[in-house]
Amino acid sequence: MDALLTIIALLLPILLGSAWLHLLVPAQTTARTTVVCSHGTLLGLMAIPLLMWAMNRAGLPLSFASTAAVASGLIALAALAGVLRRGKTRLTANAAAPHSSLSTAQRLLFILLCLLLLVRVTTLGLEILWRPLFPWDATMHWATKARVWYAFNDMRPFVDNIVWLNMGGNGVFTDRHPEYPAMIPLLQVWMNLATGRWDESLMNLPWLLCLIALGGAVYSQLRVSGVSAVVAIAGTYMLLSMPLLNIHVALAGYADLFLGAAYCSGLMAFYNWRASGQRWQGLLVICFALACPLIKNEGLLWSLTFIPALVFTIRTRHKMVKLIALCILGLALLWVLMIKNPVIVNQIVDLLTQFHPGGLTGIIKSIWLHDNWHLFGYLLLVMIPIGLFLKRTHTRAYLGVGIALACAVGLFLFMFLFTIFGIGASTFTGVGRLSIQLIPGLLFLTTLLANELLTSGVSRSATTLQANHAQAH
Amino acid sequence: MAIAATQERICSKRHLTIFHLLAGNAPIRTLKITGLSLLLGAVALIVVLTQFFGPQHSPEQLRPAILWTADTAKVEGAKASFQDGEMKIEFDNIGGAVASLSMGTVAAQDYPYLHLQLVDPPKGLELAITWRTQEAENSYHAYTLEAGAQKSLWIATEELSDWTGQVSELGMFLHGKPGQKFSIRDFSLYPDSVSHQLAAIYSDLTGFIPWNRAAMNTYTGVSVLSSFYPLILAVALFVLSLLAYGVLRLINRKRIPFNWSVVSLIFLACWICLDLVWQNRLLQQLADTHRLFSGKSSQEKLAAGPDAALVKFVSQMLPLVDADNSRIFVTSSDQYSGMRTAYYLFPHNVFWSLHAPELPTNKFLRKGDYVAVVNPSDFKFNSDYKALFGPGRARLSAQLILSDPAGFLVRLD
Repeated sequence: MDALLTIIALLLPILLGSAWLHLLVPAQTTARTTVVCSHGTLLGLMAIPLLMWAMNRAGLPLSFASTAAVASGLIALAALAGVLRRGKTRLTANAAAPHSSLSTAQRLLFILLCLLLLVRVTTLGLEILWRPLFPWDATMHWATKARVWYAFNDMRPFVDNIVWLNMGGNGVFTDRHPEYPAMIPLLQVWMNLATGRWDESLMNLPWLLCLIALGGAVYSQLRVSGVSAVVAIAGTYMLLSMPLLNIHVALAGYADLFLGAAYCSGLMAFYNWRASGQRWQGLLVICFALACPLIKNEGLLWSLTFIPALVFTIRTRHKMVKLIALCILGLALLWVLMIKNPVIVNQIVDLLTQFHPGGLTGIIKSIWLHDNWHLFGYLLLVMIPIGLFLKRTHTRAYLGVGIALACAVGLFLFMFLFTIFGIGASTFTGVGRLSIQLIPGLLFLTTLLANELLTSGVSRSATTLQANHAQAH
Repeated sequence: MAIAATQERICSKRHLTIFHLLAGNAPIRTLKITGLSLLLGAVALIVVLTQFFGPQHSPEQLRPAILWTADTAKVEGAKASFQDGEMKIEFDNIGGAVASLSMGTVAAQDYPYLHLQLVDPPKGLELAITWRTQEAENSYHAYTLEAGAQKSLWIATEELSDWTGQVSELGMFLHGKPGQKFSIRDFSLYPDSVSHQLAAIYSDLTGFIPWNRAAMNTYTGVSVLSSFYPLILAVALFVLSLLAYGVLRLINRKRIPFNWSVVSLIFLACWICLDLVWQNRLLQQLADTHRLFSGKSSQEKLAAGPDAALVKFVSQMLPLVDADNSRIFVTSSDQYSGMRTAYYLFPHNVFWSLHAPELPTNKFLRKGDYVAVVNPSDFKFNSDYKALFGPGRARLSAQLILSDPAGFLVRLD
């Protein structure tokens, strides 16, 4: 019975997100099923906690039955809308299967990489099923909330240690980070509510789902952007095989994987939206950009990186005017902030220190010496400069996603090099985890660049060889 | 569309299709070139490792190996006999033994490799290698194997920080459960050789260390004994394979044109090699996790896990705590123990602070509050005074509710 309920708890987010996305994604989209299921799963994993939060805010207790009923209703609504729409417009046939254009060698490589991924996902899944909650922060400020909310069927407030002491603990709870968003604890509550008992293993299964969905999203968006199936699966394999990413699934309980998945999905949709102008991609950008701060506080920073990306890529004659207006608005906000609340500014200034060389060493070791990301650090070193020299990459789509990632990496470097958070890099306590939030997006960009390189090589070879062929005749 | 059209044009010309794998048609030749480049790269890597990164010595300095034989092997503290080339051991009631290798005094640098091979080592057997150097009196050194006992392990002794000067004794402490049986097939010291160095690198790459508290932050891929970071080895393999590809091109430019697909395939192959090392480590971890937790209920898993003592303490505590409106303050000098105990006490209203003093000042405490003192802690309960004493603060009148090896629980009066 537990297994059945657990499967239902995992299926509902998949169905909820996929059912609604199914309505938006055009039928002729490449790798459509993967697009719908993977992005739908990610959206569903974020929608279920939001639903629980909203219902609890409305005065209802946290309950699997009521949440599942509402989710099922929404799924049914989407299905009905789908049926009605199908009656009006006949769906065209889907794009060709990914294998149809592959050579035998490519097909073998495709299958090999899929098998390696299958082994990895199975290994991680079994590790989750057998191991109880393990990592430090998970029991310090994520699952603490889940335990309380699950026990009371209510989202009891969590406050800072000092506030708790001053209030005498009346009606409030405390942990290390009471200000962290509720999404991750609510996901754990959701899984426990399903079985009706607190299970430190089963409640971590959404992390496995998130990893699989992230892989599907990367693969499908690469396919949508014109990358061949074998390059797309190679990129997906590289992402899903990264050790630190795997560890955050095997030892589930942190929010970084979900944030990395949401930010990467937003970036991928942004790229394809700018490249194709498809509205559903724009909608995905909005959804995932809004989801980032709901997963973890630093998600707000990553969400904000979409703004400069947007500003620099919008085709209007008034672009410069908008940019200047945005800068003025930003400065005005900063000025108001300083006038109204000098404490916040002081706190920000207090965070700043001089250059933190230990942070630089930590970053270098974490990316180019430790095996956190396999060879990705080196791939990045090679591909970014090559990408800058490839003419094909000088497009608005690349510019947008490039600016967003440059801003994010800039913030990442600033945080670890010039603020007190540098200690998080020199001791490796923060740099790896924050990298998880950016690496998937960087890998997407790198795979696109690698594909450009490969296909430009194809074009050049073809041209040269055709010329030789013509000469021979 | 343009890309697809180009690919189609290429595919239509049969003799133009031999170069592309990732972006074009089936390229047996591309695969052959890639495979050959990787093979040459791997050979070059072995040559580089053994010629430039091996232990420093001159051939005339090579000493004979000190082998684990009936004459040199010795075991104390357990039943032991040397049969069929291996020392068979059976733990007595103590559940431990000391094995040693008779060797006289040797120069540490003459023996850069140590091989340890156990037959049927029991699960959970702990093992520490000990040695004595003659720099100072009683200079004993020990290294505890992070992964516990393994079937076969080649150790590059230069990675042991105190393996220097003259070594006069070598042994190992074995600790397990009473009655356990196993054999030591090899515990020998070896001089430098290519095969020993490669065996030590292989041991490093296939070694396993269970998850620890820092696992979420970084994965180095190495243990204390590792000679090389696996990532650096993979990068070296990639670079040397690329060089090999370049050399192949130089030899025959007409037949081997430059092809990004070859570069990509070499990179992917190096990635997969590195990933197989990681997958092997994950599988070993999975076996360990299965051994510890499989088939257990949620509560049984906690009782079998690394926090077993804390879980037992909390499970004894919970029935003794008034469920309604009681506040529990958790205090410990050890952040991990305090934090975990607090976690297991939820959904009670628990207070634990990471950086603040162990216990809030007395003005925040009130009658009926519980204080869970988790070892180690600066707070002590004095049963004569019936009070809780902490450094630099007034005593707190309290009743002892529970005492346990992991800590104690008091209720404030």
